[in-house]
This record gives sequence, C-alpha cells and structure tokens, in this order.
Amino acid sequence: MHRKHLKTTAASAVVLAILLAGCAHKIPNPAPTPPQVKVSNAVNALAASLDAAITGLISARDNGKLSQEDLRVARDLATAMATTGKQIDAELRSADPWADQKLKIARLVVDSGVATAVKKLPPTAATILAASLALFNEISLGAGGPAL
Amino acid sequence: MNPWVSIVLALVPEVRAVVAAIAALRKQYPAMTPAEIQAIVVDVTGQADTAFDAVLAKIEADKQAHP
Repeated sequence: MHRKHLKTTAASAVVLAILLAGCAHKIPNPAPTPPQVKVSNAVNALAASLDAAITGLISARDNGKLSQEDLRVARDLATAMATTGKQIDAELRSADPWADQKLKIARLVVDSGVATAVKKLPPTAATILAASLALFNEISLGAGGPAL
Repeated sequence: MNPWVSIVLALVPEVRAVVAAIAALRKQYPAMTPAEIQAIVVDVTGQADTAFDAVLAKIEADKQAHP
C-alpha cells in the first residue's frame, strides 16, 4: 500500500515536470475570434469611448481648457466617427459575405474624412479623443483599410 | 537491480497513461457557425448603435446650448 502511494506520488511529480517543461505550448489555441465579431466589438467600444470623450470635451470647454472653436472641430470629428460607426454597424448586419463587408467598411472609413480631420485637431482635444481615434484605427485595420 | 531503476520502470505505464489523457484533452474548439457569428454581430452592433445615438444626441444638445 505504501509502495503504491509512493508510486502515485512520484508519477504525479513526473507529470507535473512534463507540464512545466512546456507541454502547454502543444495544446492548440481555441478557434480564433471571427473578424466580423472583432470589428463589431471595436465599433461598440468606439461608441462607449466617444461618449466619454464628448463628456470630456464639453467639460474642458466649460473649464476654460478648450475654446469653443476647438470644441467645434473636435465635435465635428466625433460626429464623423459616430455616423461612420453606425454605417459600419449596418454593413456588419447585412447579408454580404465578409470579403465584401471588409471592402465596404474600408471605404466607409476612407470616406468619413477622419484621417484628414484629425490633423486639424487641437492638442487638448486630440488627447481627449486619443482612445476613440485608436479604436477607429483598429476598425479600419480590422477591415483591411488604411491606418489613420 | 538498482531501486531507482525499479521505480522508473514502474512509473513508465503511469506516465504513459497521464500523457495519453493530456493528449485527449487537446480538443479543438469548434468554429462558430455563420448563424452564431451573425447573432453576436447583431447583438453587439445593436448596442453600439444605441450608444452612438446617445453620443449624437449629446453633441446636438451642446450645439443647441452653445451655438
């Protein structure tokens, strides 16, 4: 009985050693997240981020850290991202195959004018919108579009 | 025979059985069906649209307050 217990304990130790030695790297990863789901999640995150950014921009204006004119520029950019986001959502829900959706989404991103407008963004507004712009960029790249 | 050799030889079938069990655990997670993908996309984009509408409403309200 004691010998069997010793054998089991030793076997467990050997197995543990095997696992620690890198067995894990041979276990295949679960199926990757479908690209449509990735892009959808990024669009959803963009919406949440824009909501926070608008609140931040308005607060910065109210506290004198951002001029009304600078706020207008930032607001227009946020509007462009939100409007484009809704258009991307509509395309994602369409019956188009992903290959076609990608092209259309990439086109929507280019036509949004965000890449041009972001260059006119004042520094304070750019900081507040940084997270939103990063997500917009992620959406573009996820659809095979250009980087901002 | 050296007792350590005896132990190692005795352990071989035990280790073999555990390694086989680990290999059996390496199951492939099935990929999502198109219908499952679409269901997730519809749900997530629906939430996004609601949030975008709220953003646009907030922008519009501020425009009205500060023309």
